[in-house]
Amino acid sequence: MEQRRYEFLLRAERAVCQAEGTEGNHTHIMTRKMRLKDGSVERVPIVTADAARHQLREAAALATLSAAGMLGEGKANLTTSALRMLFAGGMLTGKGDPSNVKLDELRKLVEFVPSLGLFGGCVNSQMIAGQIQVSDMVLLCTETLDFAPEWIRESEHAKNLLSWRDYLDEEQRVRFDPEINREKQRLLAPGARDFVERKLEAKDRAHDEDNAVAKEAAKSTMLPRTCEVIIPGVLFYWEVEATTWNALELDTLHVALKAALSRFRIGGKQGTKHGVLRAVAMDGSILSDPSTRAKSYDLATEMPKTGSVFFDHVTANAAKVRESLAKVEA
Amino acid sequence: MGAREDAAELSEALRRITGFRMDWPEYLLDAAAADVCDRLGWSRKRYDAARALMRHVQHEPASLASPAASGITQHVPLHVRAYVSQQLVLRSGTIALDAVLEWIIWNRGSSKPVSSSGRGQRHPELHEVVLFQDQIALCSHAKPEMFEMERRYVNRRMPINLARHLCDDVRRINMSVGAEKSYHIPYSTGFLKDGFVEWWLLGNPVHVASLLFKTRHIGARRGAGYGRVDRWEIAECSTWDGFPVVRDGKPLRALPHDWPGVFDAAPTFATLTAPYWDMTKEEPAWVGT
Repeated sequence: MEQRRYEFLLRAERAVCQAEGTEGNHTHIMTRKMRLKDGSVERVPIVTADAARHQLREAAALATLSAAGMLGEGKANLTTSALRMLFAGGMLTGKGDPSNVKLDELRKLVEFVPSLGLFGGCVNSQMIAGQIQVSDMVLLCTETLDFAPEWIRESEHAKNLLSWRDYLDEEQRVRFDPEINREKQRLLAPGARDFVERKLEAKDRAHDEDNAVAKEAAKSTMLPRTCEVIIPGVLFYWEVEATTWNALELDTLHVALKAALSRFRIGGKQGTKHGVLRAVAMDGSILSDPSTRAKSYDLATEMPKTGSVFFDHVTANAAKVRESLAKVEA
Repeated sequence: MGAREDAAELSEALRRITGFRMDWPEYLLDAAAADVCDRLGWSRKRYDAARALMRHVQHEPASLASPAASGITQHVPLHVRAYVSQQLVLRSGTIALDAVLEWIIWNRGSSKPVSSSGRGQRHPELHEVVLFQDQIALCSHAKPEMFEMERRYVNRRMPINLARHLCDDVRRINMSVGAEKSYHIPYSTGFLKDGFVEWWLLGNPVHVASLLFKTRHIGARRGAGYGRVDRWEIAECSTWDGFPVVRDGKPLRALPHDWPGVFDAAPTFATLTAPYWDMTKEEPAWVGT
């Protein structure tokens, strides 16, 4: 058994927009209360651990399907149970006896789908605890610097930091209403075009008469909205702690980390290239071995070896992976 | 117990081999096995069973040594503190240390996680870690005061885009009911007012320490980083009448009605053994007012 901690420093290559909620047409950025060094409690922008952990789960699941030769047109043919288990951790369906843990079946499933052991989930009415603890991605700023790992605090990246307030921006975007565009109106069927023209006339009349109720009824669907974003170029620190029991689990973890970090997209508005993060530095330590607890190990030398155990194992057991996924109730 | 005694005997025998180290490669261990089996008159099967147990507990060297000789089987009064500076999620408002310890033992002991343990399934090793009286763990339950509470949500949505490509036989997904239903479930988080959670127990300090130092998060939603323990503090402490589960007549955990020394308590129904979330095992009990 080995417990490891991985620490990452990620740079936002594009604006990051993970929303906490909306108020009218305005979207608030995700924040979390943090107790600062002086004892005060302040809300600080973050990317949630749940979102980050999901990226790892999804990367591991796709790697498993890929290694088992199940990615491609018509090759996977998963049940919704298997899909839920792989990409959302499954759920307690009530089928099966929760008080009777079938350890053998559980071991087989975790052996053939190694990501399940790491990320946990609900399978066959059993809750399988995960072995990974993921922290929030916390914006590196003057308020949060004290909580960052020592190697980040002492690095060049920790210099010239500003308050998180300086790292927020507000974007305004507008969804256009094609009905009020004369060129687009020509695409309408005759009946629909008449309807739109009558609506535009009603809108003009309501405006001339200053009739609020009629104005509301004839309003266009044009939608201006504002959104808080974290500006590009800022840094986030992120920690992943994992307990692994064998070389396969460790390699599965490395595959998930490497695959997720190679294409980290997080939060909303990804269709407009928001939420692109790139790892700029990383460090780690083996926590379960007291002799290495104080010193870090070099992740860069560990990561290139990634995948040899995982891909060999899943490829060799592709038929059993397929069989396990077909039978799973999650 | 036979297997543990074998493991202790094997440990002693291996230590007599000059330069022996736990991380020796397999071919050296094979040579050591031949030597030990010859000296102790063991079969290879017995050696393998003892060696497997040694590997299983090799992160707890103390448990391999002769327990009686080192005096580590004694249960002593302990005061345990977990310092948690950031947010913590507590579903029932309490954290039972005996449940935390049992959870670690169950999950450490198997090569894959086990998540369910009924009353009859208590891990036998837990008795070596915490003292029990009438099936009740002599360990207080912490009910820490929290502040700056915040409501957050756990969300799930069926991965429709992936279902389109990966589930060819699925023709319809109903996201409003059943297994595919999306959810947006609230939960509360907060900070510990004192910055720590504390417990008292009668336990084996070496075992308690070796188990707790592997525990880096407590409370619910640990996978999402909540309840990160900055450091553990475990120390022997003085006792009082009723230690560690009753203080001044008040129960420091749910106790059965016939528990001695309880006079300032409220009657209720509570689960008295881990897992404490299992409400089907509730029975009449005293709890602190």
